[in-house]
Amino acid sequence: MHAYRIRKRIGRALLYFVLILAAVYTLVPFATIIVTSLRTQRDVLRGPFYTPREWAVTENYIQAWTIGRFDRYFSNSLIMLLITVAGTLIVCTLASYSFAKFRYPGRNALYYVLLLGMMIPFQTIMLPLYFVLKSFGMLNSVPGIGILGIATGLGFGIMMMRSFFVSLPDTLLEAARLDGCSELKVLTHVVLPNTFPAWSSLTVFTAMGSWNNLLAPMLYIFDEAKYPIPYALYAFRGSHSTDYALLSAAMVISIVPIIIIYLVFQSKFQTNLMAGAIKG
Amino acid sequence: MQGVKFKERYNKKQVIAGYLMILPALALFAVFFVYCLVQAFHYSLLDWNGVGSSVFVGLSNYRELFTNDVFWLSFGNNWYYALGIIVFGVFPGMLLAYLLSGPSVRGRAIFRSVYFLPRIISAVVYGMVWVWIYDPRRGLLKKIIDLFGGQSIAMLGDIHTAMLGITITGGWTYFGFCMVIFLAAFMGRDQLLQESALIDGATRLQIFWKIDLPQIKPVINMLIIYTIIDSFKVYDLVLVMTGGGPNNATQIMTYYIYLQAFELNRYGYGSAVAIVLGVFMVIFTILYNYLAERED
Repeated sequence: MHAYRIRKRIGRALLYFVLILAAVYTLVPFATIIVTSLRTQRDVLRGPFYTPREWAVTENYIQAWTIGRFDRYFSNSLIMLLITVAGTLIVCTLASYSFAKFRYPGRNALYYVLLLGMMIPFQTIMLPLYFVLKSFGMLNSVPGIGILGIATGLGFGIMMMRSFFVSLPDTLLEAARLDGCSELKVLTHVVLPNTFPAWSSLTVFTAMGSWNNLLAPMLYIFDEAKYPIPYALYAFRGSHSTDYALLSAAMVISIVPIIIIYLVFQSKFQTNLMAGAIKG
Repeated sequence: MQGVKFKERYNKKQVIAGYLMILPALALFAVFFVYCLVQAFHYSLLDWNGVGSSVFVGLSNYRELFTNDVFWLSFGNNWYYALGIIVFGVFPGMLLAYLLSGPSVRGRAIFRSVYFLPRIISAVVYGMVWVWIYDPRRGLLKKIIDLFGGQSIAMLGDIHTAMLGITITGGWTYFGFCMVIFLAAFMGRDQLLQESALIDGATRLQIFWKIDLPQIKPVINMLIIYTIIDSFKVYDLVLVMTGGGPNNATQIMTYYIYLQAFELNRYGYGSAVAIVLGVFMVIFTILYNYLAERED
């Protein structure tokens, strides 16, 4: 019995050793940028992995924010995110509700065409998109790329919202209709108040995709003043590749909003990313 | 007669409201997907620099890409990346999920949240940090190798290891995500089967191979297809870490399309590559959906 207990102890110790090792492995890059962003620029001249000697708590952040113009990039990203998220919620809610609850000719056929469309990866259509965006005046425009984000997220959003509406009982709607509610009133008074869980999932997923998007801004935005954060970071490194402290501060600024959203909506993040597999 | 039937089957208000509500989605879809897809195919048949006049060349762009070494190199690198992610992401994720699924693991929620973190941040951020880690003179990797007295390596600068470096970083962002998927699968497995096997004197390893693994096999299949789809979309990471170099050693499909079209102004050829990539992805997505539906 004694030997069994010792073996069990060793097993436990080994288990936590592996789990903690994996956690350290995960966190090293995060720790690197946080620590580096808090050091003086002179202190990190030799690189981020030497023992810190001089600390500068706010200096790099202030510089990145003002001289590095990350205030501007941050607001560009925010505008893009708000347009994409708001638009996705509106367009996908309307379409999914229609697909799930109304009956009309061609409904299922249209739904499957949309689903098929979302399998097409963005990379396949990115060249013609350039000319489409240009003809709509959406090229080199932050709101324009925000609207593009609505289109590229359509398939996933509609699929997710539709499965939510399908699970909403029809009797609920019928009762409201019998009480004399118009279709619009059924939607605003009966359906939408129940939609918040699905909306928060879709919001989280869309927000992350928009905030981290590099490819579309890189292809379709040309003025530096209009860069969203990921592209700005990429461009910033081009000219400041060894400015480790400043780059780190900029990187921390760029991940803080998404980490806050993550901590608030954790469970939704984790379940929805798999469903997002099929998003183009 | 037809009219009566229509009236019986459909409610006029619902038909109008229904069409109106899908209109915004359909309009966006028609302009950005249908039109662009048709155009992409159209471009792929042209010799065109994106600005001037174009020449119809039929399928010669496709013929060129199938005999182009860099195209095949990119295609191969995408596969290398996909398989590497399975090694550095899917398997470690499965192992961690297995460990975390034990009956009395403390801090399960915290470990789960931590492992998942890399998945939510931009590839520009983690790509840059990993470039610092791999730095052959000042990097963390060099410090660790020095500790063991080994020979320092230029991970991203050497054509033989550059792709490996990118793949390890890709795996770092991926294993926590796989862990979440596998954890759900392990937690949902049949506990009774396990217990009865333990009573029958089976070892832990035997139970894992013969009882746990078959139960989560559908999830493994799905995740592998998902990984392949995801791996063929990778772009940011390669751009930030190596820019396709050294000497095309880390060239991948999406970046290859970008280079051909936007840097070399070969819109026709770039579009042909894009169409091939699209066909490839649609096939895998259909396969994924098929597996996912069977799972439900």
